[in-house]
Amino acid sequence: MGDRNIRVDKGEVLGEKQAIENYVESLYIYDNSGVCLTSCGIKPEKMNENIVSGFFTAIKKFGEKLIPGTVVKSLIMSGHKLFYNSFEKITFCIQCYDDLPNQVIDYILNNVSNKFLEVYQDYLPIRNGNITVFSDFNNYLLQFMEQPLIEGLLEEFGYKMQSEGVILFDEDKEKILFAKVPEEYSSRKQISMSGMLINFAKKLSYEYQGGDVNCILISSESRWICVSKRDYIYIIVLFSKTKNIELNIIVEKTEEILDGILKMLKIKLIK
Amino acid sequence: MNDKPLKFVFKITVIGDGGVGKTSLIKKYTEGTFEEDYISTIGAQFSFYDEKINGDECKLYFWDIAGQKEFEFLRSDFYEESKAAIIVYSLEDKDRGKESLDHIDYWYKDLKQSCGDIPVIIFANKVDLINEAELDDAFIQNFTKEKNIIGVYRTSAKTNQGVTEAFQKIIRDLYEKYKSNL
Repeated sequence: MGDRNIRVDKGEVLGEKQAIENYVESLYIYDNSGVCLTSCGIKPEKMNENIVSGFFTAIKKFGEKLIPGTVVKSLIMSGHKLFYNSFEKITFCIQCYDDLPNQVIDYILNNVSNKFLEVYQDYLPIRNGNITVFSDFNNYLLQFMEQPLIEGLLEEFGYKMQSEGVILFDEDKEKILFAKVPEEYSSRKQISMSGMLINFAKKLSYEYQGGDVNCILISSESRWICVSKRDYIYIIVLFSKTKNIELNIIVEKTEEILDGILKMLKIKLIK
Repeated sequence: MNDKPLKFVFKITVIGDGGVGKTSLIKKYTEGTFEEDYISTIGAQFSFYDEKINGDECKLYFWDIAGQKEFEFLRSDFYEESKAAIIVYSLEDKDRGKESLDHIDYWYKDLKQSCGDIPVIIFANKVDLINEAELDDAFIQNFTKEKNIIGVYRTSAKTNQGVTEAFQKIIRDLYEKYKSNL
């Protein structure tokens, strides 16, 4: 997002309580034979992690036989779910509450798998049963789980969208939840104007029987400004006009991240 | 020299006809228990046995795979990436015993098709049900030599005869093989 004086605000709502470990019950990494290479999180007492990885491997193989050409991606149980991703014959599995959005699960699994494959690419595939080296990855997992989740999502969103700035604002609490923008773009006045704009647009929309306004996209001389609102939360995303970005993608992705964040803020935390 | 203890996990596939004692043998070795009643394994069961060899941790990860024909479609996938296999047949002097011995070749071929050239050991189980002195094991001895099987052990999950020795053979062979390749 550029090196100019970037202000990064975390806000008290997105504090330490909302670390990844508050949303994820456990994480397992295992190979195609069902051997667990490393794991972290809550497990049933006295349950060996290899029992878990063995059963998941067996279920996956059974699923592929049951419906050939398909892959078991998730298991839903009452209130919980298990979600898998496989790369280079290694499976990354996350166990969480079933209301955690899939885009968030993808974010977590992609981060973990990218790091794992980066660190251990020379040790794969595992041919000799020696899994000593993978124990060290547990330290990375523990550190990763302590990172704030919503901030991570918004930072990644901003990076992928090549935006100049992202601001997340809580209208009820009148607080900035997250802001990564050049210093001069996050004043209360600017944020209030965005809120007024959405409210005004809503009135206009109702005049034309269009219903609620989800998103406004402003095209100005040097910038795109995207403002989206859900319930009491709204997001402002800034793009330079020098970047070649499709407008429908801007709107779609902004709304998608906002929907995800809103769900996250309403989820009951594990801790 | 690497001072940090190493950690090995060896997946061992256990196969053979239904009812020959696969699950009982594993339970005997890993838990020290035995049950008279026969409960057929559904799909697969998983068990572990941990041992320290020369300070290194070795875990045997047993995939005890159901022997009934109904589970044939799943077996080859369950064999995947096994480091060794145990084929079990029954020594009992009944149809089940004779058939399980006749089927050894089938199990061996099924395994080789999926796993290639992994070490295979044979357990001739339920030795407590026969008179060993009258046992004619020429067939199995020839088979073992021909197929380069690492050993045949007479076992009894009920009395524990031969069980420890047989499992120890696998774990030691695997450890030596893979440690020397490091």
